[in-house]
Amino acid sequence: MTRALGLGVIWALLAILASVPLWLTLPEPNALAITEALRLDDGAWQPAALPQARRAAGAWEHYRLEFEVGDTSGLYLFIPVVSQRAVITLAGEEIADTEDRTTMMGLASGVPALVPLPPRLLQPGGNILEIRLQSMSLVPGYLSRVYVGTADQVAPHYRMRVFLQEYLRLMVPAGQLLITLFVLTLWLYRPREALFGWLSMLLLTSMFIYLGMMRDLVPHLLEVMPYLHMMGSAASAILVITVMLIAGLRPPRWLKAATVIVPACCIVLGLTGLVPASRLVMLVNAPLNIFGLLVSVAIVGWAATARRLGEAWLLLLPLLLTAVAALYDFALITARIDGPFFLSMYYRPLLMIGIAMILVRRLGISLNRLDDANAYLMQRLNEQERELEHLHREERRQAERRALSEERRRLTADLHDGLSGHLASIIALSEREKSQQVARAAREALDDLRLVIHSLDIQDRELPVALAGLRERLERQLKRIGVELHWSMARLPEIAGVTPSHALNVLRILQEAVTNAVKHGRPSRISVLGERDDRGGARIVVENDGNPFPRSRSHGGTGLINMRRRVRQLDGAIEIEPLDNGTRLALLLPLQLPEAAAPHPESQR
Amino acid sequence: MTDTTIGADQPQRPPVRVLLLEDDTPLREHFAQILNEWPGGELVAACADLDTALAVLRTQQVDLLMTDLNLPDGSGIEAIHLLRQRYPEADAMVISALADDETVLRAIEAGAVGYLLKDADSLELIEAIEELRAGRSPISSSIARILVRRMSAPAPASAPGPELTPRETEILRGIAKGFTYAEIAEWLNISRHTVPVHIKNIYRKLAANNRSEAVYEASKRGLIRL
Repeated sequence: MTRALGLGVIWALLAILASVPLWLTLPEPNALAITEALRLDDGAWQPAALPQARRAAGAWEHYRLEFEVGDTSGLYLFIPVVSQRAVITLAGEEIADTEDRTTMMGLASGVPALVPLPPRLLQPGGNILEIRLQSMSLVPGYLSRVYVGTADQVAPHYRMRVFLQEYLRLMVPAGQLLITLFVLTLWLYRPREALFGWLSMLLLTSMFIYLGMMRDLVPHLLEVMPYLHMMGSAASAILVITVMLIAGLRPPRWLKAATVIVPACCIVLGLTGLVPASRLVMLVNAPLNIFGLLVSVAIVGWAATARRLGEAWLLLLPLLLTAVAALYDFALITARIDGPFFLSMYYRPLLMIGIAMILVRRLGISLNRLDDANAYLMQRLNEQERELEHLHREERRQAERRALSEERRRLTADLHDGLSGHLASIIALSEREKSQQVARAAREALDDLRLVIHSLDIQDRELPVALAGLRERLERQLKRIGVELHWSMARLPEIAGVTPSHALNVLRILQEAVTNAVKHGRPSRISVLGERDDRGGARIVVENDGNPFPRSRSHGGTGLINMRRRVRQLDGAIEIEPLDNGTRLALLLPLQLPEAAAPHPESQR
Repeated sequence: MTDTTIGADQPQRPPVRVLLLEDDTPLREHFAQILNEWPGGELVAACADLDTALAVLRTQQVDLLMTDLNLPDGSGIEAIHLLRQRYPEADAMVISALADDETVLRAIEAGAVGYLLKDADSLELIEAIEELRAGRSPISSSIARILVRRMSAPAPASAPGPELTPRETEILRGIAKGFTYAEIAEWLNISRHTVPVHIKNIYRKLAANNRSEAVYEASKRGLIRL
């Protein structure tokens, strides 16, 4: 939001600045102004009002001005704008030729002149000043009003004119050169970005026309100037390509070819002399430039409005102004409007600023993306590291678990194949020998061994599995002695923190409870039910319909003592109550069993 | 199991020809005696090692093979294989000390349809045979748990055989969690008597999953943990 606002302000300022040439009239010097002159037409002097504009290009004109002065010393002639060359004669003697100090090439039209008037040639009263005006190549002639005054009166105005009409124009190619180097460097470092390449080409080709300014150093440049214009017209196609790239369009192949073919054809035609070079520039290159500009404006306008591209908005105003300036200049050359100044000269910086802004924007966005990508990668890296660490820990835990379970498996297999087989063998033997006591003892031993082996494989939250194993064994035991078993653990809440030793404790308590019930109560039915306890824990209730459990403590026996010891390790409790018809034992368990079974003092007070 | 009932005697049925394979002498004699006294069955042979049993299988018809798994000269699973090959209609039953061992599961996958605990008395033995012949072999919660664990693990050797149906899977999970048949039936809203039918199908599919060999080999070489 703030960025859009900032850009808006920048463009508003530039637009105001750009419109300055259209409405600004510089203050007139407070000196003698000459507004009337005579012009020599076909050998006769005709009156002509100054300024004189739209004079035919490529011709000489002769003006005669009359003025009166009082004091003849320290006077200057100030011509704010002359296009393009003025040879000034006072009293028949040539006193200045603007060509001597100013280049007036191509677009560099409209220069100021300040000529000291030698006192010896002046006479109080009327003086005759003659100006021969030359306009070169395509530029119409122009002669503004002239002023005669002292240095104090006219010099500040002259300096202002020099700045605006000469220095300012020189700044433009300097700035463009700078940006060209900038873009070129950028392109060299990032050749993948086609836009940078085309921008460099655009800036380079549009600099050919400035070469005219080098005429002071290279005198023959004037003759090749039309050809430089032709070469420069490659810029019209390149501009369209650049704009298409910014708009996200693919430039057609023929357009790329045109950047070379059009200038080449023009140069060949010009060199063969079939068509005069200046005519080619006038009829082919200049219209092409304007056409290219208009097409670019259309594309950028479309991209900015229909596609809502930020970069197109950055380029729209400068392109529009450049197009307006080009049209204005074209009208100027074809003498459709007055004025000696080519606006293109002044508006070109806007286009460069637009281009520079696009480049900097892209750079900034790339850097931002880089930052984002960095931040994202950093975050991903951290996540990955965390995940890796987690996996590592998990892996280690699993390895430990694997080792433990492998050990357990080996132990189980040993017990299974060895001890339990032997016990089963003993049972079979003793039954054959009809020694019931040995058989019962061996059976109990085998049942207990099964309890141990089964609980070894129990993991957290697997208490129901352990209980199911117990149920399967109790079913057999009770069936053998004709006691009905009613069992349900469906309502037992989930219990966490279960370890094999917890499971073994629970199983032994329940086994003991059932054994006691069978031994002392002689019931016909035993029920084992798991349920939620009112106090927020779990409860497994063993009920039998046999003889009620005696209340006196002395009957506890070692079985009960062992049960109480085990239940302490579970952080639970045992409640025994006699019923009218039977006994109820409730094993109360917390939903979270204690961690590593703390070493409990085995001492029994 | 709670809902197992001793099947009504059907004297019209021809006696079940039983082959007993158990290397422990007291046990073998104990079981042989029980089987000899049982009118519903006929003990074909009581073998102490695998070779003898295989020889018997090649020469005599057998309806039921009762075999221990750890034998001095090999595994009882080989006898189950030969039985399945020669008498596809015959049943196999594993004699195991605990009935929750992984070797029992491998025997089931080889085609065994039930197990007998080594300390079984005569009543239990006959009941187990009758339940098996009636297609109502129980599955212990430990075996079910091993199966469920294996199903939830990313299978290294995915079974090409028939998959368990969702219902069968639910029943297996229920047993693995320790529910009784009655609780499972109530939970799944099905008849209590259809639970053994599903279990029979589970047995059948486990045996049809012909991966047992691959899994057995892999586990022997320590490639996978069952």
